Amino acid sequence: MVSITELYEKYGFIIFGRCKKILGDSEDARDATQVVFMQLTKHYDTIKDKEKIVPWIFRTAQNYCFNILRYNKKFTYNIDCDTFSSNEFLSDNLKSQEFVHQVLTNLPQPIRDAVYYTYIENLTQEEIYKIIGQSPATIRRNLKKFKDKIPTILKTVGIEL
Amino acid sequence: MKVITCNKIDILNYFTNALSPEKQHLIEEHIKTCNNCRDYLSELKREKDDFLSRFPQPSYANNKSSETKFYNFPKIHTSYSKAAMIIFCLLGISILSINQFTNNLDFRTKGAQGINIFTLDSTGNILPFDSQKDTLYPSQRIQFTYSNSKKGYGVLFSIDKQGNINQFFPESDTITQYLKPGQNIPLPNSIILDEYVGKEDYIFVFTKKPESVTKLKNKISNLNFDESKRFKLSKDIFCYRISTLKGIPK
Repeated sequence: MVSITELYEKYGFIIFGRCKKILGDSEDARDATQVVFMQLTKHYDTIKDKEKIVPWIFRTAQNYCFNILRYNKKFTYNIDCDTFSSNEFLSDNLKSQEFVHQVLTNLPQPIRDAVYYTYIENLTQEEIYKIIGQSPATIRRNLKKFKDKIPTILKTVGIEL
Repeated sequence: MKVITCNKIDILNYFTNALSPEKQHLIEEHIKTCNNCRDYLSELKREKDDFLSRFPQPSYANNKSSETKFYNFPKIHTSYSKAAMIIFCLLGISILSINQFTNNLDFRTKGAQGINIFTLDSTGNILPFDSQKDTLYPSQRIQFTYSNSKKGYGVLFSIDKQGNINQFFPESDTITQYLKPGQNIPLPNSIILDEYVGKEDYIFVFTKKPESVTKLKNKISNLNFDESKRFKLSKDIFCYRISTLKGIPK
C-alpha cells in the first residue's frame, strides 16, 4: 500500500521537472504537475511493473504539457534570426522556450517525441526506447525527418534562414 | 556477469526504489565506478529537495481523501455479484439523493449542482440567509455550502465593484479543490466580511476535473455578470453567482 503523500514525495519532482522543461513558467509547471500527479494516483495501481512508472510519467507529462501549449496557443515570435545557423540550430535553439512552443507543438508526435527527448531531455536512444518504445533506428529516422523539415518549419512560423 | 551501461531511466528507477533487488545491486555497483551516473544521482537528490521545499504537498493534501491507500481488490467475475453490486449502488444513490435544501436557497440551478449561503451568529450558530431580503454587514461571518451529485472540483472567488477578484477556496492553491458528492456541504472555512460597503459577487466554479485557478480567474474577469446569474464558461465549468449587499452595522 502506498499513500498519496508517499507517491508525491517520490515522483512529484520528476513530474515537475518534465513540465517545467516544456512550459517554462514555474507556476504553469506546478499546475500541470498537480494534474499529471492526479493521473498518476488514478493509474498507479494498474501499473504492475514499477519500472514502468518513470516512463509513464515522462510520456504523460509531455503529452499533457504539449496539449496545454496547443490549447493556449502560447506562441511568441521573438526568436532572434541572427543567432540561427543551420549548424548551431539543433544544439542552441532547441533549448529556446519559444522554439519549443512554436515548432515542437506542431510536429507529428513520433517526430516530436524523438526531437524532444533527444535535444530537450538530452537522453540517449536507449533511454528514449525505455520511455516511448521507439527503436534507435526509428529515432534516428525521425530525427532525420525533422532536420529535413527544418526549412519548411521555420518558414511556417515566419523565420527565414 | 551482467554489465550495466549508463541509463538515466535506470538511475531514476533506482532513485525511486522501483528496481528488483538484483538490478538495484547492479546499479549500485555501476554508480560506484561511473562519475556521470553518480553526478546524475546527486542532481536528482537536489531537484527532489528543491521541489519538496517549494511545494511540500499536493494541493489537495488537506482533504482526508488524500490519504487514500491503494488496495488490490479482487475482481468480481460472477454476473450475480455484478448485478448485486449494481442494485446496491442504485439503492445507495437514491438514498443519498434525498433533498436536504432549506427554503432559503439563495440560488439553485435545475441540475445537480448548487450553492447556498448562511450567516453565523456570534456563537457560531448557522442562520439562513436570503439575499433578496436580508442585508449583510461588515465583519459579519458567512458560510458557503455546495451541493454536487457527483465528485468534482471547485473554487470560490469574489468580485468587488472595482472588479478585484479574491480567491477564498481553496485559500492559496493553484488548482481547483476536490469536492466530494453530497448536499449542503460547508466549505472548510467561513468568511468574515471586511469593511467594504457595496455589492460583491461570489462566483463558485464547479469543474469536473482539476483546473488551473489562474486560468479560471482570467476567464471570469472577462465576463459581464450583470446579465445573468448563471454562466457556462465551457462544457465542464459553471459559474454561480450570489450577490450580497453590505450595509452599515446597526
